[in-house]
Amino acid sequence: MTEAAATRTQIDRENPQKLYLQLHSILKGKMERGEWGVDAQIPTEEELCRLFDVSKATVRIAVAELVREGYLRRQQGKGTFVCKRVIPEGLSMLTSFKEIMLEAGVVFETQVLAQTVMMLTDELELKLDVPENKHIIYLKRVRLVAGEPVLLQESYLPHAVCPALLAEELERQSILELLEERCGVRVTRVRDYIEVVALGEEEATILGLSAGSPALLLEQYFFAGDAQVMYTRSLKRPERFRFVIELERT
Amino acid sequence: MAGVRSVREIMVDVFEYPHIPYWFTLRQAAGIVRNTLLGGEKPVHPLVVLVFDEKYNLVGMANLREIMKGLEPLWGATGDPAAAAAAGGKPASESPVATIMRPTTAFVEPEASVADAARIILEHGLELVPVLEDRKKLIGVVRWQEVFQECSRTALGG
Repeated sequence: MTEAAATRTQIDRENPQKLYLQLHSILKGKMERGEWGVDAQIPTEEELCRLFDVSKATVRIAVAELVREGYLRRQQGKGTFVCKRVIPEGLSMLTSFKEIMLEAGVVFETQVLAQTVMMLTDELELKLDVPENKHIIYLKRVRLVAGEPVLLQESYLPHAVCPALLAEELERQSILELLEERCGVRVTRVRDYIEVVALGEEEATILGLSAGSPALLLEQYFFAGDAQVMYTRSLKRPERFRFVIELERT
Repeated sequence: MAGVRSVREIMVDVFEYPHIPYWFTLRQAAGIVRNTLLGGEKPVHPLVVLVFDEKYNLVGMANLREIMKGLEPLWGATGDPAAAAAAGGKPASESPVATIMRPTTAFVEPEASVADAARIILEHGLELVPVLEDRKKLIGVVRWQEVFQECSRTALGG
């Protein structure tokens, strides 16, 4: 996010950025600055429409995304409230990056399904902080354990972060290691979201399941300093994984 | 003369142009055209998107005319999206770009002359022609405008 976006408090109609994205960062800013404290009820949809002079659809998308990101929670019949942040202050995650990506001790094989370039789509706008006119490297890989597909992973990186990734053999190397070795990009922070989703047709076929089967979705936002360097979407067969999260007070 | 300068000297970076995979829908392609080619203060000419496969091979290109034509059932006078949906078909906006793109059939080598590139552009009616090194690696594109500059200078002097 640009500095201007981080401190923006009003919708700017001259700005080419979509209205729901602008509203999303305005509302997020209010919570991050403490203007809306924990457990505070936020204005209703109608009030937000009036306050920012936007449509209901715009408010709905922005709020839904903040609910999904864990900033807000909805309470049936009562309203929408600011959440406590999921990761308490003063605690840091110990899990090593390699272990996040590869469950320790499991012998697996990787198949690269795509290693190409694309542009930002509407679906990706909230996931990857990159200007609309910039190119994105898209990597799609499937992990197999004993010949059985267990994990489907799609990664999106701004092309400028590490153009060399396009030419690398991704069957044997971790993207995070390549980022560091080839492009000197050291990931310093990862934000994870885990949820259960129903598989789409294509994803289900790749994982050898039927469409609509449940799977674990792990979304990861990778940062080097303040800059986002990657967004990864991993779908896992639920019966094959167990997550371990270890926290240490610092 | 146009034959003296090489394609390498006048080609531009492929990253001047939006890249989309062939499986993107026309809806996604149209959004990308609006955000990239038409999104800046000045449109990026020629107005064309490059279409790639999973392995980052250039497989085709699409201009605004082709994307618009693909979307015609949704904006044309006879278009009836409801009827199309009732017939069980997906709306045109969800068709993949692969269905409307022009597959890449011509390319030039970086050491070819500008005149060679000009002939290919004219013969195939292209907006730009891909520059492939060793017949494989895409290293740039040659556009109408640079070819025109070069050829007109040769023909007319100045």
